[in-house]
Amino acid sequence: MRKHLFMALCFVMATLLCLSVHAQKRTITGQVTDSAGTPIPNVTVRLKSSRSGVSTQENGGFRISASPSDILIISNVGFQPEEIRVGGKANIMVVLHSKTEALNEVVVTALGIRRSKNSLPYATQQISGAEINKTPTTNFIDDMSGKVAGLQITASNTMGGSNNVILRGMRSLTQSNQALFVVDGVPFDNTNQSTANTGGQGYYDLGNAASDINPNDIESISVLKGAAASALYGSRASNGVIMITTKRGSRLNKGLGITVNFGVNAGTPDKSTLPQYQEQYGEGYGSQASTTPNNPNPFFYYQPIFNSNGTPVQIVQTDIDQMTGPAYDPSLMVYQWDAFSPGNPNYGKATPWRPAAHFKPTDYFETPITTTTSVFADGGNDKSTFKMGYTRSDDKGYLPNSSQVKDLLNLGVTYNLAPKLTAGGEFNYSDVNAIGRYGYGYYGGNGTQINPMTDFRQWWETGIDLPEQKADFFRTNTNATWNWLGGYLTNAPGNIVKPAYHDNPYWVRYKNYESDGRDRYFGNAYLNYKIGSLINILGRVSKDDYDQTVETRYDVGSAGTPSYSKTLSTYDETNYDFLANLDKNLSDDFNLKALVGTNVRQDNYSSTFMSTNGGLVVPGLFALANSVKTPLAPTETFERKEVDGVFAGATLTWKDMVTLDGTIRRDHSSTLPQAHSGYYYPAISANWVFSKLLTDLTWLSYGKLRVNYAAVGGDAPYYSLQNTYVAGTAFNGQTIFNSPPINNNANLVPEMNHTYEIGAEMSFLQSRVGLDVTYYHAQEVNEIMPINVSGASGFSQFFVNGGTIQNAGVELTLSLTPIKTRNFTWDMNINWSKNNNKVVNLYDNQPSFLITGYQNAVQLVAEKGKPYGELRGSNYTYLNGKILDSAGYPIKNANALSDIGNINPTWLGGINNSFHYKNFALSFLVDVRKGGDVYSLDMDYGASAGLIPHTAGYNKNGVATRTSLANGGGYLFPGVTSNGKANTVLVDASDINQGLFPFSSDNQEAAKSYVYDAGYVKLREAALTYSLPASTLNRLHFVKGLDLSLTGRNLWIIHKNLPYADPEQGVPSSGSYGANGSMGFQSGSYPTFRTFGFNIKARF
Amino acid sequence: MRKLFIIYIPVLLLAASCTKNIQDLNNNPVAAITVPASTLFLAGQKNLSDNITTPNAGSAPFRDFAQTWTECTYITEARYILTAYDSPDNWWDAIYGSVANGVLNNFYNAKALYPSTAGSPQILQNDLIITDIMEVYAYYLLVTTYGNVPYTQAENRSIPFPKYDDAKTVYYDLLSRLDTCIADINVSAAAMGSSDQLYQGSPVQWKKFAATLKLKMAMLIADSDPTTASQKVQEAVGEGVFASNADNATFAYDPSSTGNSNPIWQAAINSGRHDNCPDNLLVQQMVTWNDPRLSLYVTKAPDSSYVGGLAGTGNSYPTLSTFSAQVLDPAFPGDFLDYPETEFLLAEAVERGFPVGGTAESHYDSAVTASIEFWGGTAAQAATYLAQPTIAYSTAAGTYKQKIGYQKWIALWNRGYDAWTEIRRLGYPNINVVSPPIGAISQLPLRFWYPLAEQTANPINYAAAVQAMGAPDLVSTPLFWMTN
Repeated sequence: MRKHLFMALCFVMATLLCLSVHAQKRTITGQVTDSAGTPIPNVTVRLKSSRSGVSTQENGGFRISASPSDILIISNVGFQPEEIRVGGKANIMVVLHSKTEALNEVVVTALGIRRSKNSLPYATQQISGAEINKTPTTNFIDDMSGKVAGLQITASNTMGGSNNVILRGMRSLTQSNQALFVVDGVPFDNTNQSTANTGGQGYYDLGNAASDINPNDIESISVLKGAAASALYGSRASNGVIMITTKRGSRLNKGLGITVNFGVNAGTPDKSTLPQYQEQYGEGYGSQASTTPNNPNPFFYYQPIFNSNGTPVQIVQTDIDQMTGPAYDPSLMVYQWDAFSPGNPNYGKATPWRPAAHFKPTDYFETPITTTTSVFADGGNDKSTFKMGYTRSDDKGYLPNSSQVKDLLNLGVTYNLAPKLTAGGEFNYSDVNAIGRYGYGYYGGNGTQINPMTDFRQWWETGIDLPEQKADFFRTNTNATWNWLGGYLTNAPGNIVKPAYHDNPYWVRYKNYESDGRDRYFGNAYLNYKIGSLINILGRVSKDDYDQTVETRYDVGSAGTPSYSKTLSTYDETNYDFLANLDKNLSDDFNLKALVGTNVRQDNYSSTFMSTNGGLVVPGLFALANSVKTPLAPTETFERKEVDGVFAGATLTWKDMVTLDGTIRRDHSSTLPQAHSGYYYPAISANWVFSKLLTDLTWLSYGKLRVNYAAVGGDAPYYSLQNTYVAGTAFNGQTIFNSPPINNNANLVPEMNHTYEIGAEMSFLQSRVGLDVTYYHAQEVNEIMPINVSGASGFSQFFVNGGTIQNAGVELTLSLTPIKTRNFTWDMNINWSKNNNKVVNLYDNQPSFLITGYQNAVQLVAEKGKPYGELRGSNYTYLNGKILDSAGYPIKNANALSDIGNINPTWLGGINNSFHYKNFALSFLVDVRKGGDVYSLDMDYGASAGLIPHTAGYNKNGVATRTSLANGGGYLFPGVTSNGKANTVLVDASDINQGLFPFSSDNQEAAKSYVYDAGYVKLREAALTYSLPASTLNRLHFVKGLDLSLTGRNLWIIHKNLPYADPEQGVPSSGSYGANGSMGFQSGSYPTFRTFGFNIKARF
Repeated sequence: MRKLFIIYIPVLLLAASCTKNIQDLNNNPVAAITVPASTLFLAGQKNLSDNITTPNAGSAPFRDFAQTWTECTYITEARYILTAYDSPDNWWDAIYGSVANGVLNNFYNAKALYPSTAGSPQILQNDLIITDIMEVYAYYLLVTTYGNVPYTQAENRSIPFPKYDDAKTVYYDLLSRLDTCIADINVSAAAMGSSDQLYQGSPVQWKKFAATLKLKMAMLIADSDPTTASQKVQEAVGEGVFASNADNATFAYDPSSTGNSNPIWQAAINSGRHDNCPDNLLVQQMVTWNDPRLSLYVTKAPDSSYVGGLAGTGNSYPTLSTFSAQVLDPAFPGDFLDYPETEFLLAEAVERGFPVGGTAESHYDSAVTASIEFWGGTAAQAATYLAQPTIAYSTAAGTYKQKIGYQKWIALWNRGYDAWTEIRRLGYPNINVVSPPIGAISQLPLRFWYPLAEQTANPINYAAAVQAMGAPDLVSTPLFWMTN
């Protein structure tokens, strides 16, 4: 099998051999048409053996001098190139197929083997590098969204931030469900680098490591969705594989072989993903100051301040971070936060009680700008090829003081050492440096508010004037907060009173910033030897190695204890591959390809976390030695793993019509017990190109059926066999060790994923219509997982083989070319997928399993018989489907936990349209997610803080809802009373301090009120490209191509049901809630930014 | 032939790789497989001290329940809303030890490891007994917090889903374990050394501790089972309970690192937060009674008065009294069990007719005096205080439960769990009457409901336990020792 395994590598060699066979030259004529028979002008026709070539005329005709042994290469932008052996022909008719006629593509499959898509017995989908780079972003993974059936990408919308890449639903209850990234046949680490919550320093989103790949070096991306496709990669591939093939050097370029790309992108927030606020009431916690004697309004403090000579004055409750205070009244003069901020123009002054001029997130955000410059050059001579690429991107984030610089360099060479021996290698270097990464997750203050969105969405007040906060910070270089912790009497210059919970938002960005750097080397070296004409041998060593430093800072003057931390980590993975393959025609009708190989993989990861203890001595000095108390011993991690695999496969093809394919792999993993450390996984598949029998059906261009079955084994995570104790900090000179919270298991056995898949690919009407349908069924059994157990066991988790989770679904890809004329083409590509997930069984026959718990007693749960990821939390009592109210209040269910949603989408889809008119190309992508739920802590806390609009407004009497009942106010809960009639009883919402504030699940509402449908319809991207016509280019001589494009991403959320946020927005998957816990949960979610870009690409 | 040879290279490579034992790579080089047992004992003891000391309402809202302290801004627990921070989950996990810094898990593992490290059979025996006493203390907290709890199947590496045991049965078993400990501890032999931060491994002191704990546990069932209570109280007194503040089981914190400092300091100072303030119910009671401990407990407010926060409402931290410097000291000790508490128990025993010697008044006076001295007051201050008619045992208002209840409440000001338990047991101060929190969603909780995680992670045994306790799983369900 695997005929094309080293086709590419041997391509040059074969060409050279051809060169030596010279024969008599003569003139050949011909015509080039597209598949509809329309002649194509300006097509390049050249000899494979030399650089000489011609272009076709307006009628598609050409004339070239060639010998019978020559091979013609016919290529044109937007078409699949064709190679034709001249032989004895004098006139050659060539049909070029548009690149959108994807069914005849060559597809890169496991281990980098290129196969005709014709012979593939499993579902894959390929995206071209051009498609990926259409709208440049700094993380190409985001660009795959909506382009592949069954692929779900959740982005975090942060600078250089991370994303979840899930294929065909969640397979694992507890482990990562992320697809494996493979570059040129070699696994590429995609660990989420986000910092853990070490030392209370909060979380920073450092993104995924796969973003180190140079997007401009990507030739194509193949998505291997099923187990059969990816079985040769072993267990890591059980979540599917994103196979990236980089560009390769070519020795036959006309011209210099240089491509230069320059792009600039700027963004603006999508307002529909930003919070809105009620503007009737300001900061405070109700009648908190009611105990103060003679207080005219207990919603304000009433006491003397530093310049009032002992006279009490009305002061806003500046130590509160919510909007449950007094009603705004511009005629009332009160002392607000700025009255206590030295240097502020309002210092010591009372000001009108009304919302500030600029309190919205957009007043804080800056315009994000990304510039990307890349150069790509390739070339070669008789014996060698090379390519070299360099990309630099400069990213300025939308939060103050945030930037990221990436330098990505890659080199690739091949050299023919001997006629049958080729050596080659690739070397990639990336250097990523960032300042001011975005924090994520929940932080409610005390300088740990590294995620400003938890402030903007949960703990905020509209009296904060952000430009004033900025001016105060830069003027005084102090933590001039809006959230003063009282001390009004002593608040004079030089006598700064501390913040209650929140630091000045600019102090947070400029003083308490994170920074990081990652140096990465990724490359391989190989030798390829051809024995006779049938056998290829490849030996390859590849290495992926990075060092990373992450520093966090928390300066003196912040609300909490100052600190500085540094985490040093290194990762390296080495793969040793040995592959031999054979390609033999057994007879005229039968072809056999066979493969044997070994793979040895070694991983090493180590990290050291160091932090100051008890504070910093010298302000602004971020060094471990600047610690108040003796720094604790560093926290060290050291993880090692080796997996040794051997595999074999065979493919038998009959008349290019029927293919039988079988592979088997055995892995031996260091993370399993000796007795069970080896495991096999077989895959068998078949495909039948039935259209070959139906040649008289002219409407049917192509038809194929495929079926396959695979089992993929999996090993255990590091160190899950044996319990170890955790060292603590010596106490009064005595050593401390703590028992481990996780109970490991020395009797684990490998897990297994069984998948079968059937599919059909068809194209009709001269490939104007293409259809690819796949049904798959995957069952994960004996899953190795740490299950959350009863805390009374003394452990939080037990490592077990347990649980069966099933995914079954349909993927559909439809490609259409509704219009195709000489000057105008309209192509459509539609992806649709539906995955049904079911928890078949749980360990020890338990009915449920806790995945993780969120705030407000909401849980993410696996329940037997239901889809993975049930949301549980407080709910209401219902009458005929309506919430039952009593005395105006909804009746909450007595049990604190009910099922209130499920995170799985019903289906995902994408529609891509592209139009070509002469030299213009326009494309846009609409991306749809239907169904699935998300619990928004943002909305729940936003309600509890009186921030979001529905906590204020006016009732049916036209009176403000927070007016007391006695004065006609009150809030009307929807729902019915026990007699089934609509509730008409208003409830008092006038004073949170007296328990009279019904909003949020902390109060009278249930968490169910804050579970939303996570579906959306988005205009994901659009691009308009203009390519300079050949006639113009000819005059420029050295320029071979020039494309100008205007692009836009995240242009429009056409529909969604989640207020004020993007339902797609996720929290990095390695965050506080475990591998999958953050799905279906929103807290401090960042807005979506629309980005607009201009890109220029020149080829020389 | 050459071709064939090359084909076999991968097979040879694989054969080579199979001979190497890569399983060794899975031994974590930076983690310990075994450790000295004493290091685990200390971890358990420190973590237990942290849990009974912390003012963090997210795991131990007991100070807020008892209204000795209350919440300033985030007032959910003060209103008995336990879903905001899942305190029933966190308290359970901390004591059983399913978290990074657990209690019972460390004691169990220490017991398993003593045989390999103890210096002599006598030391081994004493080490096991001391650890057993600590375990009884920890289970006492669990069984009096929740009711039925996992006991016989708890802390077992092979049981992920332990069943719950009947609360009363567990409680009586704990009492009999104390009997065994007291009988078997070898006061003439040595025991673990400085890893024990309460008594440096002194078997003599541990015997007193066990007897005092037995006294306390016996008094808890004085209403529900006076016969057993009386018998156990007499036994305990005979075995030797605490006789002075010198016997107090206080846990000296280590201020040299943040995590080893007193949890009050960590929560109130190091975090920069101001979540707690003294509760005004207690502050005003102490003001009314001219209590010499007031200034030792709390500071004056900026307006020079003593004023605390009101339970269930927002309290403006900067305008109120806060905690005294000694309470906010990172080295301020934790308190497991003390002499003032012992004397209060004896006073009550006399009132109940249990023959323990002395009079109720003499024990009451000793208790109050010891408490004042313990907090840094003088004997003279104590005498003045006790001389007031509102305080003097003979003239103070109410039944013995009220007199003792109020004074114990003040003495247990820094002992949130015990303060809540004594209110639940004696009924004084009657929070539901004298100071129901604003916005409270129920009466004072009589117990914690079970952890929400148990509903999902141990669903079968949870359902059985709730059934046995009398479903549904509510904070108002009385525990077996509550008879009224």
